[in-house]
Amino acid sequence: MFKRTILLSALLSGTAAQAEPPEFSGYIGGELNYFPEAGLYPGQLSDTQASLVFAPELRWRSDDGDTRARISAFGRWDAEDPERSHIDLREAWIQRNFDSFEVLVGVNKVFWGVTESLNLVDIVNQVDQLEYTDSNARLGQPMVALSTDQDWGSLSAYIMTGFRKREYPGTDGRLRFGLPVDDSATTWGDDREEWAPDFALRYYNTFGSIDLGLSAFYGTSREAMLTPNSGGTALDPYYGRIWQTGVDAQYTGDNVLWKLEAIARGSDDFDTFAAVVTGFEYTFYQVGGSDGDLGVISEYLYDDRGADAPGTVFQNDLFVGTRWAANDSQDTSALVGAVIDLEDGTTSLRAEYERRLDIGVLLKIQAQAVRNTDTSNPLYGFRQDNYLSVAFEKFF
Amino acid sequence: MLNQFRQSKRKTLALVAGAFLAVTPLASYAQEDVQKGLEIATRSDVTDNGFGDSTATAQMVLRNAAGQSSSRELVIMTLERNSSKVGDKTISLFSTPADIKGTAVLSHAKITGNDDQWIYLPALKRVKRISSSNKSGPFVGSEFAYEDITAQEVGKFDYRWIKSEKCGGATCEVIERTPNYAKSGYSRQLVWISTKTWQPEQIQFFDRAGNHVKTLTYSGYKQYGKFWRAGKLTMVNLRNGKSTDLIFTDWKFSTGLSDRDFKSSALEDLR
Repeated sequence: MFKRTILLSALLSGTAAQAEPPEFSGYIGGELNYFPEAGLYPGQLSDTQASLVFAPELRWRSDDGDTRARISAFGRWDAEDPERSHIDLREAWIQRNFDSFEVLVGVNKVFWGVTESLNLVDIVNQVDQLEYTDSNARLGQPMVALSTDQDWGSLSAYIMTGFRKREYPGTDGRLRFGLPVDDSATTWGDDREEWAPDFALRYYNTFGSIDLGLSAFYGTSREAMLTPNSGGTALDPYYGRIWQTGVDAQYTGDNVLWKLEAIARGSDDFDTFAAVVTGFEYTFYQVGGSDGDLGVISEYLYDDRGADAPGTVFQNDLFVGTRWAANDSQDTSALVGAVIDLEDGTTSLRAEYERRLDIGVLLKIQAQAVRNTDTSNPLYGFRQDNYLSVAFEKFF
Repeated sequence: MLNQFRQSKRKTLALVAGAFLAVTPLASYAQEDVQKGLEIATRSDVTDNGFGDSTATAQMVLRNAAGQSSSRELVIMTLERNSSKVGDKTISLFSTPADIKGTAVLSHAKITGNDDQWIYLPALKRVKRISSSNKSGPFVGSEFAYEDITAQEVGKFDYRWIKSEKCGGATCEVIERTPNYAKSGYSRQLVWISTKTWQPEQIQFFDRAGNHVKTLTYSGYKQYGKFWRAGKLTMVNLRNGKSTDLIFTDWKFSTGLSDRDFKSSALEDLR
C-alpha cells in the first residue's frame, strides 16, 4: 500500500516521489439554456439563460503516500437568476491511511447506488437542485468517515454535521414551484438544527456476479417538507429527523445488468414507507457492424409514501431509455429516456449527447420536456419549462 | 465398495475422453503440431512467471486513415496470480485527456467465463460494475479490442504449431491459436514467438469470416531482470487504415502491490 502510493505519485507526476507539489486541475465551462415557452409564473426569465462555470480542484499527497488531501470547488454565475449563481465547496478533506483502515475528515461527496433513473439509497449528500442540467450534482457534506477494506467486504462509517439545506431556483428562475421557497422560515425536527449529528453505515462486497451494498442512515432528512406559509406567499421548508435502511444490488450477466435499489424510511413525522427502483440494462454490442454499443434500459419505480412525508413524483412510474456509446476516440455518447407515470400518464423526456471536440474540451447537449401532464401531478407546474441546453467544458 | 467406486470413476473418465474427441475439431490436425503449439505457448507464458506485480506508463496514440492522431495516457498496474483458474488482475488508470483524468478500469481475469470488471468515474465518484462479455469491442476508441489487451492466459486458446522462420535477427516459432472463450471476434490468430525472448513479435488477427483484419507488432524489447517487455505495440487495422500505438515507459516490477489495491473500492484512492 505504502510503496504503491509513492510509486503511483511518481508515475502520475512523472517526477521523483520526493517533494511532490499539489496537483491543480479542473474545468471552466459555459452553458446556454433555451426555453421555447413563456414561464408560468411572474418574474420568470423569458427564453434564454446563460451561465458560466468554474470548477477548480487541488490534490495533494504526502511524501510517504499515506496522507491525501483535496479541495474541490464549484461555482456558477448565472446571468438571469441570481439565486442560481452559487459557489459550493464540493470537497475539502484530508485522509490518512492506516494499515487496516482509513480516516477522512472534512467535506466530501459520497455516492451509493447502482440504478440509472433514480438512486434511492444515495443519501449522504444534499442534491444541488440549482444544477438542473446535472442530476448528479451534490453539495459537499462535512463528515468524519472511517473505512476498512477486508476479505469480507468494505465497511464505512460516517458521522456528519453541518447539514446542507436544499437550495431552490429564485423567482427569476425556471423549473421552480409556483411559490418561492423561503429559506429564512426553515424549521427543524431537532433543536440543534443544522448541527444535529447524522450517522451512516455502508457495507459493500462482490459475490461472483453480484455486487451488493447495504446501508443505514439516521439523521436530518435531505428532502424538505414544503408547506405554504399563512399568507400563501411562500413555501416554508421543514427538515425532520429520519432513519433509512437501504439495499442496492447488481447482477452482471453477459449482455444484461439487473439492478435493484430499495429503501425503508421512517420518522416521527410520517408513516414508515418503502421505495424501490428495479430494472435492467441490456446492451447490443457493435450494432450494425459499427464500433458502437446500444443499451436498452428499463426500470420500475415505486414509492408508497403518504402525503405526510416530503413529496415524490416517482410513486408508480416506468423509466425506459436507450444509451448509445460510439466507442470512438471522442468518446461520443447519447442517452434518451422517458419516465412515465403509470397512474396519470404524465411523461418526462430527456435526451443527452456528449462528445469531446478537442483535447480536454467537451460538448454537452441536453433537452428535457414534460408531456401529457396531469393537473394533479407535481410536474404540471413545470409544463412550460421544457428546455434545450448547450454547454462547453474545458478541462485543465 | 472401493471397487465399485474405481469402476465408476473409470467409466466417467472414458465418457469424458469420448466427449472430448467427439467435439474437438483439432482432432483433424496432426497431434504433434497441437502438442508443439501448446508447448511453445506454455513456454512463452512460463518465461514470464514470477514477476509478482508491475506498473508502467503507456501512451496510446490513435491514428485515423488520414493520419490525424489523438492520444491518451494511462498507468497500467498488474498483479500476477499463479493459478490455472484465474488470470492476473489489472488496473488501467487514465491521466489524459484531462476530461477523463482519474477514470480507472479494474479487471479480474478468468480463464473460462467473463472477467470481472469495474470502472471508476471520478466526476460522479461512482464505481460501476460492467460486463466484460463485449470481447470484440474497441478499447477506449482504439484499434485494440478488449480481448487484445486483457490477460492472454494459456488456457484461453487452443494451439497448433505452424512453422519456424526468421524474424528480425532471431528465429520465430509461428503458432496458430484459436480462442476457446465465448464471443471472440476472431476465428484464429497467428502468433510469431521469438525463440530468443519467448515473447511475441507479431500477431495477425483473423475475423469470424477468416479474413486477416489486424496486425499487432511488438518492438523495442528490453529486459528487466529476467522479464522481457516491449517498448511499443502497434496495432494496424487493415480494413479501415486506422492504427493505434501503445508506447510503454517506466516499467517497474515487484512494487509491493497487493490484492487490496485491486479491489473495486480502492479505485477512488488511486490519485
